Amino acid sequence: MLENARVKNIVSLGAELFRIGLHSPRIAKISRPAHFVMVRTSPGISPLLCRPFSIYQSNTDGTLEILFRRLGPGTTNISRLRPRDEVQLTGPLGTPFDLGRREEYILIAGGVGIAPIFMAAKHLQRHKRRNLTVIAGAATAAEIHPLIQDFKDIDIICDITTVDGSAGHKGLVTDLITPATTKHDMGHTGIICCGPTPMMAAVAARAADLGIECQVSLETMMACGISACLGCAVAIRGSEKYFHVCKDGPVFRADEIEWDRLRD
Amino acid sequence: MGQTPRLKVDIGGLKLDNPVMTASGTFGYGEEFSQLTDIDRLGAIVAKGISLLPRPGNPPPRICETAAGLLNAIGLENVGIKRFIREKVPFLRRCGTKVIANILGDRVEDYGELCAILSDCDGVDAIEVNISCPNVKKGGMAFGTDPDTVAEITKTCKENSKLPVIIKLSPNVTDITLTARAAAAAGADALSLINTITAMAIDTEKRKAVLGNIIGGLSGPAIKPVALRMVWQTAQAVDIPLIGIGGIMTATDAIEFILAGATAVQVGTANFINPGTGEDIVHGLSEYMNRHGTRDINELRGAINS
Repeated sequence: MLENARVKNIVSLGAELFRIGLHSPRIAKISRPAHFVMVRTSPGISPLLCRPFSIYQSNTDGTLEILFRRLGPGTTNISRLRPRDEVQLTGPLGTPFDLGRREEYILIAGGVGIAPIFMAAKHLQRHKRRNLTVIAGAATAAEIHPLIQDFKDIDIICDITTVDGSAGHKGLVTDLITPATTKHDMGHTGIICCGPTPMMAAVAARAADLGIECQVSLETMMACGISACLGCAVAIRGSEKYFHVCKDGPVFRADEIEWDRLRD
Repeated sequence: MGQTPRLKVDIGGLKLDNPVMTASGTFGYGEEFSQLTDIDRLGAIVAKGISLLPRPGNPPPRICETAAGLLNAIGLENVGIKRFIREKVPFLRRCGTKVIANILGDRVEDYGELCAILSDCDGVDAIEVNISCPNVKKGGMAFGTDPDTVAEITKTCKENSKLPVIIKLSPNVTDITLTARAAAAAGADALSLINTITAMAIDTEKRKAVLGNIIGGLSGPAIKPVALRMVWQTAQAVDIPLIGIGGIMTATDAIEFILAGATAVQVGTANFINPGTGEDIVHGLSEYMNRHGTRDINELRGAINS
């Protein structure tokens, strides 16, 4: 659905990260983990297209939260929004994570890809799936700390990794998958993952080796978000055909994706 | 003001309640937008282009944004005529608006076959013909750039169609009036223009073309002045109705095309940005006409002062 949302608050988290709260009761009410919204970042034509963002939180008071990194002109415009400004949202879009498939989950996030992972963690906690491991990685301590802050508030301790070793394990999220498996009944455990594409490809490969079902939430360029433009194609493994991330995804089973054709 | 301005137009026998349509490839098969805008307020929907057989489309990346524009190389991905009729037409038939099917082919014969099938399809009111496709027989060169081939496709479509035939012209030519005249002389009921302009973008960090297909088609506000010029030139060259397309975002944009000589307009890229654009433009046309004391939209056609 289309909703003109008012900005409730916007917080700079450091390291070019921001969290924005939007009053969008109709979309917030039916949002699920890995659903996304298309945000119009300018009332004019620069930038022209809306930008897709995973929903970070949807609260019962009608607030929808988005976590984003300021990177280009679209996110720069959003970072300049102030309380009471109005912004056009379309959503909730896409197919959410299927969190009813396993008893236990290992949730893996890279950078700002933690947004749908946080929503999934909250959902699983609410549904009494106690045995959760959250692995969160980023480049540096300055980046990872604001991303995991909200997990602390819901009593989830994240296993963290940084590329430079300034916080947690020095290395990549994949390094922590095998240690995590010792804490889980692997016959009943699934992986949920969102982050940069090379990271998700590595997690997918690891999950395949371990024989664990893995769901990933992909990100691509999108023009419409509603399967009209067909711009967000990703190759289906073993097929000439393509999925469309906006409608068939953004969540896919990792073994359905032709990862080699996703990487540049 | 009292009187509501008249927005009805006639496109070569296709009668529309208002001149605002959606451009092919930017409105899916209609259903995608049904929750986001009141489709019945539009003059017509032009469906996503269909071919005889399904097409998987181009390898990604398929789209990128450029200054005031959208570059795409979707590669004519579509479900094929069989699934179109079985799965997409039932929804379109129930819409309270006119439905234009858009067709594309690899061979001239494909176009005739598609026209024959669609003519017997309840729920389709007219056929728009995409001639900007690679011509398989001529080594992949686009059909739409050669006036003789344009005439040949138009003739085949007219011979096989019981519905009005709209030829959608390619802007990737030196003189668009040549292909426009060829289509008109071969019996086209109307022309729509322009399709996207071939273009490209390069990622300087990767030193690579952004699109998987390297070259794509540019749409959006960036191309509006080019489209407007071509509509004006074509209006001087042919007597059949024209549908103006290219970067229309607002009612003012639509009026520019009508003043340049278009009978109707199509909204394309703008649907991605605001799904309600078509509806807003219909409303804006009435406002403009009230402000200018224009009773009938047809009075505006080609009415630029010299």
